[in-house]
Amino acid sequence: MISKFRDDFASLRRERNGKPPVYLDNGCMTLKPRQVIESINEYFERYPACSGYGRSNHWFSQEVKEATEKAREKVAGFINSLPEEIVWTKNTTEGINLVASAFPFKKGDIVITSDREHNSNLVPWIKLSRVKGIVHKTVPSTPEGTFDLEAFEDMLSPDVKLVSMVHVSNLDGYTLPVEEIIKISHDYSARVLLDGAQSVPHRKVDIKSLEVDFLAFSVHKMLGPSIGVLYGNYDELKALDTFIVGGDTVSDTSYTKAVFLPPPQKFEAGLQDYAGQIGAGAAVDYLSKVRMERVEAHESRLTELLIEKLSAFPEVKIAGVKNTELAKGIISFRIMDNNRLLIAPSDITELLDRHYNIMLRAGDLCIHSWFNHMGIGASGVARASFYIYNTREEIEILAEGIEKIIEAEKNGK
Amino acid sequence: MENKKKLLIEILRDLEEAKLAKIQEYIEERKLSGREEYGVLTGCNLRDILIEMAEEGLIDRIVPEWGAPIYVYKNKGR
Repeated sequence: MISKFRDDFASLRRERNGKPPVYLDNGCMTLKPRQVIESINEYFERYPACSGYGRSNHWFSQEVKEATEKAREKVAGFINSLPEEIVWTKNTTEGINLVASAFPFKKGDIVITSDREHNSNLVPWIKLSRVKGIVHKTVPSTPEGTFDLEAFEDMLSPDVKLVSMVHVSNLDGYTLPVEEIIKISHDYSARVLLDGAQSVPHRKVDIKSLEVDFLAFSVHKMLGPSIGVLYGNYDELKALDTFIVGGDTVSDTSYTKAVFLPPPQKFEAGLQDYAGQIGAGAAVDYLSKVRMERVEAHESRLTELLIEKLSAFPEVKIAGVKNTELAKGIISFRIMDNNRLLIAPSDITELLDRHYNIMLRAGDLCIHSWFNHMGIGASGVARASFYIYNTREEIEILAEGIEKIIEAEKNGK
Repeated sequence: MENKKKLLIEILRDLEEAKLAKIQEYIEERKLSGREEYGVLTGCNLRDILIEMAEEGLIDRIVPEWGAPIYVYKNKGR
């Protein structure tokens, strides 16, 4: 079954030094199947025109409008929302910034996040603390590295207006108990924004059953082009102020006033990435055919296998949540000699790339705050992250490479 | 020369030669002992900066067949 998927990914048929690529940097960006590339090419070859409210109404433009609205419907269906609740963005970061910028905060309002947020869900709140006087609080994790629901509930009060949490961590694939977080937050009338960058691409996310207010995610992490999506409950989107404004966000203007369109148009200013939107539709079509339950199960099996392989090397320390059974799809690790680094994470990734064509991510994974808090700020981790086209053989190759690196470092080569 | 490169040359002058892991440990120890200027050196780009410095001839970068690259202070002994 996996080989059937792999046939759709031309990049996996490349070779360097007589070896194929072993692409394990899916937490950053996934590869693109033929079907997505063809959908994008079709836009550029057949109807590369503009669309949007009140713009051209000719033959090509009508085709763009039809294709992009179809794509919006597909993405909406993928997370069980309404099409008008889908806002196109550049990426997850822009989706979070949209909410941060447009949410009706007053001085003294509180925003709560976890203590291991990607910079995309941390820096906007640091900025708002300075420019709007909001108060940003972080929930400390338990000593086991899990989310502390009791500590979270203790922090809630009527001043908490927004709870903005990562759904699945980009450090270790740990899933926060978002159902409970959402329920508790709503009990205090706080709205909830989820960073779905590492959840929506890897499992079935149903916003109706979650009852989440906002969900931001990136299509480039789920087989699609570099475009993002912000889901917002329609009433919540209506309550937001505007974000970037200009053409396509308004129905009329005078020299002093603008009449804004309803969501989602009021958030989609200027000409859009129409090819990206169409590619997003093709990406969710592809994933829907694969079925998200199978994506999740496949990644879980690969994670278990890698954890089992790594357990043979006492030098390998897995970062993040201590109970690795809670990790899915992502493994971050360091290679240690007692309490000292045996080899730097970015040297691990360089060696694996050079000798095996294994592509991992190294560094602080844009979670500098957590690494600094843990006292490992300058070195970070090496991270393997999986997707539907990865195989058990690739995990074996990774384990072989890690073994070779440990041997070489210990022998001083 | 930018501040980060000056700091890395200072580190390599002290260590004479080192792998990235040793350089990173040195930075962490300095940060912990209150040398705030080392705070500008974070994990993500250290390797890239060191490669750039080697290309500019400021340091040597020795790449073994296997094992981590070694960075060498160039003006040793002067």
